[in-house]
This record gives sequence, structure tokens and C-alpha cells, in this order.
Amino acid sequence: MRIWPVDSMRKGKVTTKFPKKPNETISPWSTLPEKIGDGDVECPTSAIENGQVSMEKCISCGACMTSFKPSLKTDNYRVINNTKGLKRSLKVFIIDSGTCGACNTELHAIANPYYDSSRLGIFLTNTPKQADAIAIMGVYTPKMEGPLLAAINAMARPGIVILFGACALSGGIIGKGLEDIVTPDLIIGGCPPDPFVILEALQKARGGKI
Amino acid sequence: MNVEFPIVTGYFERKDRSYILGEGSSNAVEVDHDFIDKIPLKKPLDGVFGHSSEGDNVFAFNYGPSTGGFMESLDLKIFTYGERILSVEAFPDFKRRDITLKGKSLRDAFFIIERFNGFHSFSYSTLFSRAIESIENISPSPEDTGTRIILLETERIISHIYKAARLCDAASQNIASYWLLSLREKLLRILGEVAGHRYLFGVNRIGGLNRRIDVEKLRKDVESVVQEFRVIMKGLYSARIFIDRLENTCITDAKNTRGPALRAAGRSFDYRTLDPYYGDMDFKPITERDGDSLARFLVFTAEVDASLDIIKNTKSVSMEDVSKDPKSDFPIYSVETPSGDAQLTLKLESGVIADAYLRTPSMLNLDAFCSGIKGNVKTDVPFAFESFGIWISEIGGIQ
Repeated sequence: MRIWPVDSMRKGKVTTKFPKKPNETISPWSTLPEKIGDGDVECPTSAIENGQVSMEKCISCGACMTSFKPSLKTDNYRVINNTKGLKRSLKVFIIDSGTCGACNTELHAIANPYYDSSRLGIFLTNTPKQADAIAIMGVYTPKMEGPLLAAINAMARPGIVILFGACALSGGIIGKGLEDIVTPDLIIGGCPPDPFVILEALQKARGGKI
Repeated sequence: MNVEFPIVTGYFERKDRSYILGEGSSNAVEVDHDFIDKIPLKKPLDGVFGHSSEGDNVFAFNYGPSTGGFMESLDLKIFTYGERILSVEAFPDFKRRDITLKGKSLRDAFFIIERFNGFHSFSYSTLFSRAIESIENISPSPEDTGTRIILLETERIISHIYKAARLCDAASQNIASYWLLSLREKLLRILGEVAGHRYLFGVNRIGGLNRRIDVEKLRKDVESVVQEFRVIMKGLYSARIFIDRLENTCITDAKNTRGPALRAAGRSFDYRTLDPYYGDMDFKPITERDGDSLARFLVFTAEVDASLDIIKNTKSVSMEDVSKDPKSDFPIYSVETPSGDAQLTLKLESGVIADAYLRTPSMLNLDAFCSGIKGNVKTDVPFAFESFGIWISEIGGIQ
């Protein structure tokens, strides 16, 4: 018979020390590309303007790879409103408006043993009533507008509204974004955002040190 | 023309004409309009998963559309008079993205398909690329074709490991669940390192691959993950509590399912046995007989080993047979995604998409779940649902 706790202890510790120490890895093309050449680039979402790549529009397709390379940085997010009072514990509720599934699994990944977001006091919750943050992902879909607005209203205050991933921020290449429906406190770019980027963004938005 | 197919897996109507897709068939066949109404799976193919119940004290327990229990937005109406489930009606259209391919350039359509189901993005981008390559007579290099097979199988292993983790989570096997999630993370990091993206976005292209992949490293790393996976499975196969929760839960027959769920019900169909990509491989579908959640679990966990064998034995694959692909009004292009076979018909005009129809495995597997869960109890819903590998993102909405 297998004794699971013994087996798991034998495996040792795999959890990152991020953000105290640098991230061990990152999904290269999920980070914001930076310019390395002057060749013509046809971006499918018109994310490139004056040599800068918009985090709202970039869908991580790599079509710009002749003149751009992944920055490998964890700064693919922007805090719009700093929220105080959530330093000890942050519970995140996820709403899928119209995703391909990748954003959902990347946000869930922060709870796996490699990232273990609970060591930072970040937890996923199953109800907006208990949430301090709501992460909204995917393109606009008419039938999810009601549930997502109801969830934002149900969330306890202070709270953080997050627009998560390129589809929610601009519609990406799939449809319409949610920027007209929701006023975010935090936006996280990427298609999908890397778990290290997510952790850093959540820490920053709650006023934590990076 | 009227024809009898063993199983009709899809249908579409164009310019007052009706066409059907059969299991494993390479061409859509024109049929009389009346034939369409007789297709047993017409409702799920239309995105309708209605299985309501009536009776004394029967009420609909609403679960969804946004809950922590499901990964994606899905609304279930569970008809019950207490604990036992009389029937389940599913509404996946809350997150319906109406995606239009018609009129799109090949490049834009490719990026859309790649982001259709991000979890199985490489399967769908390969399906689309192969369709265009067949239409335009483009032959990817043997090395790129071989690498595509290796990446398809790696994606399958990741998907199956994730399903196993979700099942363990539902069955309160938390250590096994977190251990499996760590294996999945390990594989995603390997993909990020060798392919530049954890979900393989931007790796595929029409005519080959965009990036050089270190195949040897990938093989070695996948093998070490699968070895660890076997250790966990050895424990789970002998965990009586876990087995008891899956056994006899959500029994389905082989009429209305695809992929591992179909094979778990005893039907030996895997599109890879018909796929020219896998032509020379001695590949046999893995089957079970009982059609319950345990049988599905046994099939997809055994498929992890089968995928590793394919990864180890694939070198380069010459695709001279691309040009032998059938030509007709609506040829069907298929790929065995981790959840089952997906079928695509495509027409081009002046370099843009003129017509497309895509039938995905989740369209049929969601109905199989709704049918099979009858008679079970409400706490069985998570085990049953996760054992199918259903992705709501791939249900409906492509034009």
C-alpha cells in the first residue's frame, strides 16, 4: 500500500522562492516582446506602434520574431488602483467570460506546488462573496455580462477587479474585449499570462513588496 | 442520396444542401434534408443538451454558470427530488464565442483556430495547417512532421495528466492531485524552454514549424515525467477509496462519445490508426469495457504510456501521401485531439476562408455526460465530468 504523505516528502521541495528571489523560468513568448531590428512586421492584432508592443493587444503569436524577441520580464501588467488592507490574505474568484481555457489553467497554476500561492496568502475561492479580487478573463460574451457584473457587486470591499489576458483587455484576435464593461484596478497582459507574472501582479496590486 | 453510416459524427447545411460527417470518413456526404432530422446526435451537434425531467417533488438544482467546481463557465440544471439525479440539462452557451472564419485570411484564421481551445491548441493548429497544406499541396519537411507528432503526443500527455489531477482533486486524493499538477507544470516548463511557449502558441504554421525544437531534450524530459507518473498511478490503481468513487459512475455506451470516453465503452476507434501521420507505427487503440468513470480513467492513463512510446519512436515522417488526401466538394480533415477526434471541412477562395465546419469531441462528450449521469448522486458530478475531458471553449460558435 502506498503511503502518500511519505512519498510526497521524499520528493522534496519544488516551490519557488519568488518574489524574494528571481523567477526560475518563464514562458518566453507570453512576455512582452522587445525590439531587436527594423524589419517590417505584420502584427495580426496591430499591437505594435512606434516600436512598442501593447500588452493589451499582444496575443503571443510570435509573428514579430524577425524584429522582436521575448523580453523574458515579469512586468507584463499594470496596477491602476493600489488597494490597501489585503496584505495578509487575498482570495481570488475567477470568472470566465469567453476564454480558450489557457488563461483559466494558468491562473489555477499559481496554486500548484511549484508556485504555492498560499505561502504569500493568495488563495482561489469558489464564491465572489468571499473574494477580495475577481479575475475576469476571455472575450465579451452577452450571456456572461450579467453574471460577471453580479459577481463584482457581490465581492467584499476593499476589492480588486482584474482584467486578465489579452482577450479580456482588447478582444485579442477572437472578439471584443471587456474594457467597456468593467473598470479594472489591475490589468495583466499575455496570452496567457505566465504564473510568475500573475504572482508579481497580485502582490503589487495589494501593496506588497516585490 | 441517402446513406447509412455506423455513426454520424457531424452535419452541416450549405446552399439548401445537407451533408453529414461519418466516423473516420474522409469526405462529407450529401444527404436528403429528412435524413438530418433522424441523426440520433442532432441535438448535441446543434449545441442543445436538454435532458429535463418532471414528476412529483422534482426540482431543478442550478449549478453554474460561474462556480469553482468547473474550470470554465457552464450552467447545469440537475433535476432531482433530493440526492439522486434524474437527469441533467447543460447550457454551455454562456461563454459562447461566435467565431467567424469566413472571409478571414489564412494567417488570421490560423491564429484564431490556435486560440480556439488553448489547452489543445497544437492539435487544432495542426488540424488547420494540415487542411490548408492538403488543399494547397504543401509538404512540410519530414523533420517538421516528426516534430509535430512528438508535440501532439506531448500535448496529449499533459492533457491526460491534468484530467487525472482533476479527478483526484474531485475524489479528495489531494496529495496525488498536487503531485500530478506538479508533473504537468514540469512539462509546461519544458515546453516553454524548448518551444518558447507553454501552450505551444506560435510554434506551428502552415507548411511546417516556426521554431526549431530540441527534440532529444524533449524526449528525455517527457520520459522522466512519465516514469514519475507511473509511480503515482501504481498508488492510485490500488487506492480502494479512489477506485470505489469512480467505479459504476456515469456509465455511457459507445454511441454518443468520442476519444478516451468512446474507447472506455469498448469501441476500438482512435483516429490515429487511420492518420497518415502515424502510418508506419504499430499503434493499437487502448480500450476498456465498462464505460464508467473508472474505465475512462484507465484508458487515458494507459494512453500516457502509449504516447511516450510514439514520442520515443518518432524520428522524421515523410508526408508524400499528403497529395493522396481525398478531393471532393467537402473533404474532411481530422486529428485525434486528447479528448477525441475533431473533424474539419474547409473551402478556400482567392486565399481566404470561404467555408468551414468544425465538429469537436466535446460537443458529443457533453451529451454523453448528461445521459450517463442519470441515476447517480449529486456528489458524483465532478468525477463524472472530469473523466470526459470536456472543454466548453470548443463547443459551438464556429462559422
